[in-house]
Amino acid sequence: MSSKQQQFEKAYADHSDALFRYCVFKINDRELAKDMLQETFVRAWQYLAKDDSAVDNFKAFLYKIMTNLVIDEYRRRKPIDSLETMREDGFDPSFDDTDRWFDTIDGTQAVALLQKVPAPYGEAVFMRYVQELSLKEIAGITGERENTIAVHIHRGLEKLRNLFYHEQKR
Amino acid sequence: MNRNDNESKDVEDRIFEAARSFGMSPAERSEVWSRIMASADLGSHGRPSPYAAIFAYASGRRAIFVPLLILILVLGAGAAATQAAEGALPGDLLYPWKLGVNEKVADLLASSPQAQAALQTSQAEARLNEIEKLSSEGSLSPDKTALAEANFNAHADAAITAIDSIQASGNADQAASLSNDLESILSAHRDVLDTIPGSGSIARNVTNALIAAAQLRTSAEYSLSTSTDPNNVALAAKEAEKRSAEAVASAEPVVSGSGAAVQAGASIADQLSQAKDYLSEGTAKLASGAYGDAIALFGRADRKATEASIQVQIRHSIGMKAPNMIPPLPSLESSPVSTTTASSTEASATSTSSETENGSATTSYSGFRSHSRGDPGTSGDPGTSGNAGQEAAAADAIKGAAGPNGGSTNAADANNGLENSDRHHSLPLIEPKNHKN
Repeated sequence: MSSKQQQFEKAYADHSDALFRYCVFKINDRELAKDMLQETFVRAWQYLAKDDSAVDNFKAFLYKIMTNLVIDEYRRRKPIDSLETMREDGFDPSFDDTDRWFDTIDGTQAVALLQKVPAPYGEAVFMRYVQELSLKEIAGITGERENTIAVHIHRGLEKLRNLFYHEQKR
Repeated sequence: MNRNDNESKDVEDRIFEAARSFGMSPAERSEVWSRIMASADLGSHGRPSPYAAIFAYASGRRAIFVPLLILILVLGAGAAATQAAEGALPGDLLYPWKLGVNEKVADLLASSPQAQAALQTSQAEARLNEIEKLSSEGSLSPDKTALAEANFNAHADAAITAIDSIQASGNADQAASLSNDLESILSAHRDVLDTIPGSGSIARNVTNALIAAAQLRTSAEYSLSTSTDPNNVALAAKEAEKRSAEAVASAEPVVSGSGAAVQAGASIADQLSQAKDYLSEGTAKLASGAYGDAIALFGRADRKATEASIQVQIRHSIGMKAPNMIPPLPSLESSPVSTTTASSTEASATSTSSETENGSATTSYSGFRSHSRGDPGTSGDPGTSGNAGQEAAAADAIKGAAGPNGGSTNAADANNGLENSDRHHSLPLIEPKNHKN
């Protein structure tokens, strides 16, 4: 197997889950996210096959492709739809006790909670703490300046805290 | 807020950690991967990509267009070298170019597992062709054999891995067809190599690969015949009939055509008539609904016919006559006696020095021995495993013989045992168990 193919397979193993999660966070549709994940890697492969130079930062490259697909999807949708979060899909926790709720919080609920933080703050927090991307990497994906992103993260964390205290008190 | 910062940080961490666990299930992940692999051969809208159109590797063994495409891709001075390297043999100046450039480019462009399997099979075969050609020119030596041997092992290994992953992804039909091809090719070449002095060590490598291919094929056929949907099994059996009929039909003119009659010799013509026997037996089984047996019989017909055809082609291309006629060895005719002596010493030196090699080669395939995916040899199901289990057991015997202490003689004997069990097709084939759902 050529090293290009190995690089490609490794990239899938390393990044497919993160890219999928990012996509669902943005468009809120698992099945479509899988399709977009597929499309991302197919396009990456086609690029690899034509261009002999190895792609330096494969992760950034994949994020770039996925982000473009997400933008395409946003354009296809009516503006109101993009405000939906998984909350509307039936996620409705009841909490007596914060600790217990957060002990049992599962992936879907956590992502739903983060979706409720208004963009761009929620996205900044998501990219930094869930996707574990550096400020530089986030800047490369979103096109914003690192300082701006840092501010977004700070505001996002505040809003997140407000949210989960609000959820708790409810 | 009432909470202190530490506690809220702790809660945040838990949220993030939980969010990180959100993802695809392993099944979803591999399903998307399969679709990526399938799509990677096509344009994203299902149109074949330019590469796929040129590399029709899906079922073919002959790389018709590769040299042309390689020429296009390797520009400038490289183009001349690439063209010239196509016919390079071990020991030639351009041989490294052939392996390192020509074949690497083809490898790069074969993106699906199916394309990989076919390509690796073809490249492994190329090594064997080269050795046979060298021998017919009288210039085979241990050094040159060594050049080809490691590369052969790598490609045979890669072919087996690719076919195994096709089987693992559920495509038993393709896996059966691809492993059939590989098995036929290896078996045909092994028979030819057995008549070539000094090729003992590579013949052993071929035997090892053959065992692994046979096991893959057996396991794929088993998967096909034990599919839970009876319609699938019937369909697979009909497909197998079609394939084996085609194999017999295309072998016919090669084996018994006017020029080939001289080349063919009795044993190759025998193989073809055996293939026809298997084919008609398979058809009878198919008609009576014994799909599992039919699939196995069609597989045998396919392999016999394909092997016969390949053998004729090999011998024709290197100017050899068929077995049971003594081949005039070029070295005997054209070289002084000392060369002959030297080559027999070389032969024994080769076999000693490569025994450890052979040991490790055996190990590399032993991984497939332990695959229990429907392995008929280990399954307690008295369904179609009857005869298949027998072949697997015979293959195990060969492996034992081909171990560090085994020489090519033992392997050949043991293999004759396997061949003979093939001929006794009157052994009772146990009817497949009715798989209800």
